[in-house]
Amino acid sequence: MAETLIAKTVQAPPRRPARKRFGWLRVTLAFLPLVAILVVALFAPLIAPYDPVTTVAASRLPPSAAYLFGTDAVGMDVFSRTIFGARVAVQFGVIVALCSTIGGILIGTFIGLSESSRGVVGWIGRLLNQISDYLIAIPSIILGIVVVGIMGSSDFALIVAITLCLIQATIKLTRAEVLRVRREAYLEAAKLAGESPLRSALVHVVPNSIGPAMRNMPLVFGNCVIILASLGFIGVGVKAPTPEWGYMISSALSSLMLGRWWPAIFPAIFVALSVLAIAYSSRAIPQVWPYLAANVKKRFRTERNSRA
Amino acid sequence: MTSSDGTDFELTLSAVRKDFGRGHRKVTAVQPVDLRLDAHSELGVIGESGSGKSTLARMIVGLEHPTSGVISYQGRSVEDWLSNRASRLAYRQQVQYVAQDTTSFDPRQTFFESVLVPLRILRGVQSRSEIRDRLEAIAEDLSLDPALYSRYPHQVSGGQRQRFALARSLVVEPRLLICDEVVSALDVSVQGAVLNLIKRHVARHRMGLMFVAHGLPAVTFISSELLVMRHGEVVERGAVDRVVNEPQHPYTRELLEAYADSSSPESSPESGPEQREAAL
Amino acid sequence: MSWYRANRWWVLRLARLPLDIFVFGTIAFFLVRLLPGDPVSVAISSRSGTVSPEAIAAVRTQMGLDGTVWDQLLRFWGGLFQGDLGHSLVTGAPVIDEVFSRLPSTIELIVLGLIGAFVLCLVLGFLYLRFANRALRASIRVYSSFATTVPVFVVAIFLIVIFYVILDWLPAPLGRVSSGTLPVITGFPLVDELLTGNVDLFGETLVQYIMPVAAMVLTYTPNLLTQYIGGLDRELVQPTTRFQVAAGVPRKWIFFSVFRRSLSSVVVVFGLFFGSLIGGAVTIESLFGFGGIGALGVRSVQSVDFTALQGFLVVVVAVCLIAMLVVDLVNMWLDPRRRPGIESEAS
Ligand SMILES: Nc1ncnc2c1ncn2[C@@H]1O[C@H](COP(=O)(O)OP(=O)(O)OP(=O)(O)O)[C@@H](O)[C@H]1O
Ligand SMILES: [Mg+2]
Repeated sequence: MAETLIAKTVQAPPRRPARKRFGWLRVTLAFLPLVAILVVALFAPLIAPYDPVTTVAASRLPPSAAYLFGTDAVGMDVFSRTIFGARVAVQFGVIVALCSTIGGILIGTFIGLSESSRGVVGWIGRLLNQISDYLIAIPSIILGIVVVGIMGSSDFALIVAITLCLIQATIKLTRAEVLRVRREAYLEAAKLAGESPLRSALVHVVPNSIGPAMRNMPLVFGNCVIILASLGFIGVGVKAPTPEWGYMISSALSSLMLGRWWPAIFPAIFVALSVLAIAYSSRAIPQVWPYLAANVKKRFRTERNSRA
Repeated sequence: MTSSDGTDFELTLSAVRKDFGRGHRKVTAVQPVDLRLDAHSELGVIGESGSGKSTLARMIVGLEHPTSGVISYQGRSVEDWLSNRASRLAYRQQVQYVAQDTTSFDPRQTFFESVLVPLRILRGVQSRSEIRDRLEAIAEDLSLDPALYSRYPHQVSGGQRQRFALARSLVVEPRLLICDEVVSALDVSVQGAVLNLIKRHVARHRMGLMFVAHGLPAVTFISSELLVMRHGEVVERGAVDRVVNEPQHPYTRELLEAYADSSSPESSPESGPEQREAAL
Repeated sequence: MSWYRANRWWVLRLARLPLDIFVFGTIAFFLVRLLPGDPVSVAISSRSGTVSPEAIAAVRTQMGLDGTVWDQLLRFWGGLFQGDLGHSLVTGAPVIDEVFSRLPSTIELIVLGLIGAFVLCLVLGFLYLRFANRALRASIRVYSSFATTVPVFVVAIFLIVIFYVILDWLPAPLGRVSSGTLPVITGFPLVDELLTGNVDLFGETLVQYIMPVAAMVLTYTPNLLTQYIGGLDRELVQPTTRFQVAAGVPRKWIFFSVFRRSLSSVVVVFGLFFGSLIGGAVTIESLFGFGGIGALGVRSVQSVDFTALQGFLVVVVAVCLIAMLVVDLVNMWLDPRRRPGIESEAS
């Protein structure tokens, strides 16, 4: 069998088809998982039968028709809490993805443009670059513990902490791209056309170097969900009754030791499913993106032409 | 300033030198050079690759800073011109540079967006209709279809892109135009057409021209004075006819011989471009 | 001089480590002083009765928090050079002892997880290469695409539910040993148990380790596997391989050679996810009641323990930096193109 594999490989090296066949099915499949999570988060109040932060029944009731996922140690409905957990995760994910992408693009652009320049600007750039290098040396959980400790336990502190954990990748991606764009002849042309450095950075450098950072955004979203759950799990996450998956799991541990598995397993399943779904989408979307962009543009153009 | 004509100017280089790098990696790109350009100049600069032609041109527009020596325009040093916003814009408007690179357009902007920028910033033209008129006029001048303005850089041919680069510089009506190998990347027939367009435009608007190329035919066609560079040094200068017919420096002779050998009669400097213009 | 030229790549890289640790230590020093609350008043509030200003000053001096911030910084730097991180403001024990009484058990967990992940990666890589079975290869691919997705504690929860709650094959996740205390010699629990001849405890700990280590292995294998499969795919179509096949080299040798050549791609990722390994170990320890380095961090934040927290940060970051350093050096050793200054030497 292996021989045939090697023989086959040698005779005909695996050739990728020059152009993969795209269809709307592929596009739909790429977006579906991500959209599903967003829909659950958006319509959580409609899906969840009970209030997620009040006691609605006896504690630790096993799953039944009334309480799909059972109830937890204080008698809150696990199903409602799990559904609302998606909402919490998506809220944090979206805010952190926006903050770290926008912030990372701006900082990365600054670092890239100031590199090898003298004076104060060069120093600030090098300092920022060094700081972002140090950030990656700190495990995110530890960074989370310290930042939340310093700023006090609040949603804002969590957002800052998780953004600090994740911004480094965006900075590095953008910086590398800016260093490439910086050498492009159109920046000199812009200078000769009288554009100021700031305008040139905003009009030419940023739009031409945000590609990798944008493609990295779903990944930031997914990593945010992971870190949020982990921080919640070790007890430095969101405040107590908030239905956050990591915190739900850790507060269900005592039930778990008693053999009541449902308060822990359902949030765990949702964490796993959502991060896998986000990972899948973040890999599939860039693949279908060119197709999507081309088709949308084409349609847009024909519409415009028919109007004209 | 020799005449009362408003378009006249004087740009001088005195002992201008440029080094790149430091220590044992130092490269002298331009040896001390003196030069004078005015509204009647039609200066051609030739030399082999790496001889410092581009560096010379880029120093004049302030894209590189001379290691020593002074470049002055209207009796004021270029450094001084570029030191504050108002005079920087004035200098940029009066001295324009077209790079040898045909990737000098932002891939995310249409030609319209790219070309109107210098018009807005350097000429202060704001009204939409005036911008459109001027862009159309310059396109016509360069035999460009104005419809191409709505295209992106990757959607046109190399020759068209090069002409848009010229349009971007010429639209501000500079007094001195510096062209850095603007035709080198183009095929021979397009080369001739573009050269003709430049020559016609420069003559009509009475602007000074500095034309950098490593090809002899283009330079002899478009300029009246010639500068031969080698290893950053100006080895010969003089009127085109004189340099071509009685070269003094061995290197110039070598260069001329190389062209005499390789060029067919059809593409010889005298007959080439005119014929192509007829075909245009 | 020529020795230096040839070895500059690792000498310079090595020399950066103390500098990085020093700079980071300084950052940590200022960072912990941003913590809300004053450790002195925390310490005093636990005493009964009225407290005289002299007593407060005495406590302050005793804690090493007298003088300006710059005095404290100088003292901290001095200690750092001597490998002394001061005394915990809460327990009074030397911070270095506190950290190193917990760090080895965390590292033990990480090392076991890494070894397991490495072995599983090799096994799956072997299966991937050995059997041209589409379904098998597809499933290995899918599994490898799980890299850095599902958090390790979530995997552990699944394992606990299956093997403890439902099947009841494994004991409850309640610490390394059910009773008695662990012997401490090196700080690595398994090693210490063996050294003291405590075979029963050793067995017990081993059983307790099954789920956490399995969770780490399952979580971190995909990280290695993506790289490894990518390497295998690339190496298979290399001219070298084709040449070997054409030359009639025995199958086993070809396998071995492809295997070995793809391995270098795995090394690269170790450095990239070492930080997430520590983070993962922290959650795992909290889940299984192991009480390692993470618990120390949480405790020192909550008790405003400046010295403990800054010492903890310095050590954790130093460990991460050392791991990155080792990976960097191995990489540079394997691939000279990655060595710094190589291009400048060529020109
Ligand atoms: N930014 C730079 N840094 C270092 N060296 C440079 C730089 N720009 C140019 N040089 C060097 O200066 C010398 C002159 O370069 P220049 O670009 O002026 O040559 P050129 O005559 O325009 O050549 P070509 O015909 O190929 O365009 C070359 O040796 C080049 O390597
Ligand atoms: Mg050049």
